[in-house]
Amino acid sequence: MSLLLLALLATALSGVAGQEAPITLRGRLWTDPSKEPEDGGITLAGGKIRRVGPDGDAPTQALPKGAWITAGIIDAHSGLGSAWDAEEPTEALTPHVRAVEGFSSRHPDVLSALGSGVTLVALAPGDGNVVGGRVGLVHLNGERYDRALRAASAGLKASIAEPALRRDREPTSRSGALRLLRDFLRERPLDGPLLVRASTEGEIRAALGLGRPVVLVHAREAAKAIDALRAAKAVVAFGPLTPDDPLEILETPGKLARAGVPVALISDAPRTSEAQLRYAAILAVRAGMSPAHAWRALTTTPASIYGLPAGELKEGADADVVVWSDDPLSPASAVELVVVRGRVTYRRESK
Amino acid sequence: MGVDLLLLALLLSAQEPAVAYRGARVYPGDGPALDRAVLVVRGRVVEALGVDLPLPEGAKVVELDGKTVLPGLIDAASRGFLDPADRGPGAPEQDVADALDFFRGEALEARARGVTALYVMPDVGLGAVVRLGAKPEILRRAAALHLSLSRGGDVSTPSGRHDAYRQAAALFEGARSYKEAWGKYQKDKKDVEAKKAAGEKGLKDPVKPARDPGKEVLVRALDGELAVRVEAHAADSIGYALKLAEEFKLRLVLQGATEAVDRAEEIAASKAAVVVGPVLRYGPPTAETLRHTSGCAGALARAGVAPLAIGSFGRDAGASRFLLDAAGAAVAAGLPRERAIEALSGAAARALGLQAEIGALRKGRRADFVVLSGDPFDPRSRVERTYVDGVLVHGKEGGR
Repeated sequence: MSLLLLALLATALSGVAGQEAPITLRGRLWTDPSKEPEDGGITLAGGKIRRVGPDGDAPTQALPKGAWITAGIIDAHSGLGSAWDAEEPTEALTPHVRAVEGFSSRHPDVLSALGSGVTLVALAPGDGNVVGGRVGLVHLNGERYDRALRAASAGLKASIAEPALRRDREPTSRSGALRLLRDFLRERPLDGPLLVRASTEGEIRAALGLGRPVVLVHAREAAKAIDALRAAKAVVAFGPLTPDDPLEILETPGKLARAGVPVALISDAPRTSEAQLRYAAILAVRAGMSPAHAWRALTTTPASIYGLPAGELKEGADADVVVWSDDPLSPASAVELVVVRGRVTYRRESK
Repeated sequence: MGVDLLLLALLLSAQEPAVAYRGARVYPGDGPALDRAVLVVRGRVVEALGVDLPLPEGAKVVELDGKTVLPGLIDAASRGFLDPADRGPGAPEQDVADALDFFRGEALEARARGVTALYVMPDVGLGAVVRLGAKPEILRRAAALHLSLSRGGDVSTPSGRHDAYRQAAALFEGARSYKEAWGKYQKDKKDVEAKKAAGEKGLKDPVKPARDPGKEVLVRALDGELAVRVEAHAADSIGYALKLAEEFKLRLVLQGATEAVDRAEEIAASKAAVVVGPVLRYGPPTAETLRHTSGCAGALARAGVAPLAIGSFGRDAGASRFLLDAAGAAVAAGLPRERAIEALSGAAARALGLQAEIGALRKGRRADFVVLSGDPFDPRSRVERTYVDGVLVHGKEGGR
């Protein structure tokens, strides 16, 4: 609860979004995940990163010694704060459903995510419909829905996996699901990415066979379809990942990244949660993924799925920045400070 | 004869060569880390640990400069070697040791990550400690009696939780009467026998109560012979666990405790041992885990709870592979680093009642330890070697 109070306090102190005074953060800047971080300063102004360099040009926020500064984590597929409420499973095609409308900004999981290092969340409809509806984007800034909303429609969610097949309505089979999905896609141009829930190798290959650029969600057996994923230039939104998963699943994100398949690690909340999305990357690193690949899977790859100017510490990008006590891929590293669109939204209490 | 054997054993162990592991940063498992320490192992046991120790004569020296040594990690809440589907209702006398399947391979992966002992827990019944030596083996059967106030029944409402507590209390009340009935029977029997011996005639033998194996186990818990483990997450479930322990004078080991933040002082005052977990929550929130936080271990440590252990609470031994990362997540949420290591070693052994044997790198304890390439929480560190009983069970001697 004290986290909530702190977050609210920060909100009250820093005024209206978009009008914050410029600030500079100094520490170890992790600008390039394939290299060690370098000492420097980053200046945030007008909700954007104004300057990245050896020093800053605005009042400096006090940070703990040795702190790491990174871009905020982006969750590319989540049911955060909705607990399955973003789904209408009685119809197979519900393109009009907007996942953001099931979002509650006061859900306990939203509050506990404020200090997680995740700054932006793609809220997706569930997996129970062939066309589930619109994926939306919300900032994890501790504010109410209207001020957290980034985009109500940033992509379309589809599913050809087990949960979309039902006995009481069409489709009842994978081929039926693909027929419906093809018919649906034929009629409409898409204004954002098409996310398709596909888990088994067969589902993954079938989704790639749609002949459209797709983002494969869940994708448990993606390691068996690496050839097809590369050929189709598909992106994989992999997850959730838990300590109970067998080794071949834990190794999959690393295998995909090494083969050049862009991979994002997702919480798929509420199966796991934003509060621990970083630990999915840590599990993947333990199973052989390089730290650089793992960090990109939490930042630049999810940003690229939605075409967002975020996920990196570079001039002109969104000022979504996280300060860590240590390497964010160390399990013991704590979030010290979170900045969303230039505004401090979380600060760790001293113990 | 017995004395001769003992002498022989002593002679044999004295003849076993000592091995000195030198130069590493060593976490003893029950105190602060020692830099550039010497760990002397003779045969299966630790002979000494210290800085600037004289090397025993003829000792083989293994240089570990720059490495970190931890006691073999203990997962104090595991389901290793159990079939995940095998979750029956359970009975107090049901022994989880009878359900262990050592052909399940996940434990070997856990050993490769420094885990040398698992406490395998049933939902209800008797738990067992398994050591992951060259072959997994049971170190202790019936290490504790499990009751659940969190699983089974409807615990999603306050009244459901109260019912769960009442059921548990009724079990112990039944066991108390059972104990009294047997006590009375034995006393009456003695009296009758004494009177018969004195020549009295026409006496009736007292009626022998029926044996009840479940109640016998509960009586052992009432007598303090068996620790009682109660899984409780939600704050009011924790309250019921403490109440149950107080009412029946049980040796309580509280397990779960993921909402303990608001009850940390009470738990500390009760002197209960706590096995925290899972530190990270997997699966949708339930009524029991809605207010789960990773900060509960830190809060319990600040309140003075001891022993404070951390368990994986995995579906099988697979989750034990990431025990150090779970402890790391507790560190990120406020648990001091040394306490996190202790939660997987010395404190875990105390929570299991096995502190005389495992958990700390001290004289006379079993030589179960782990060599890491660097800091335990550094993502680049690797478990290079795992030793159980002084024998290398994972990795290569003298390198990676």
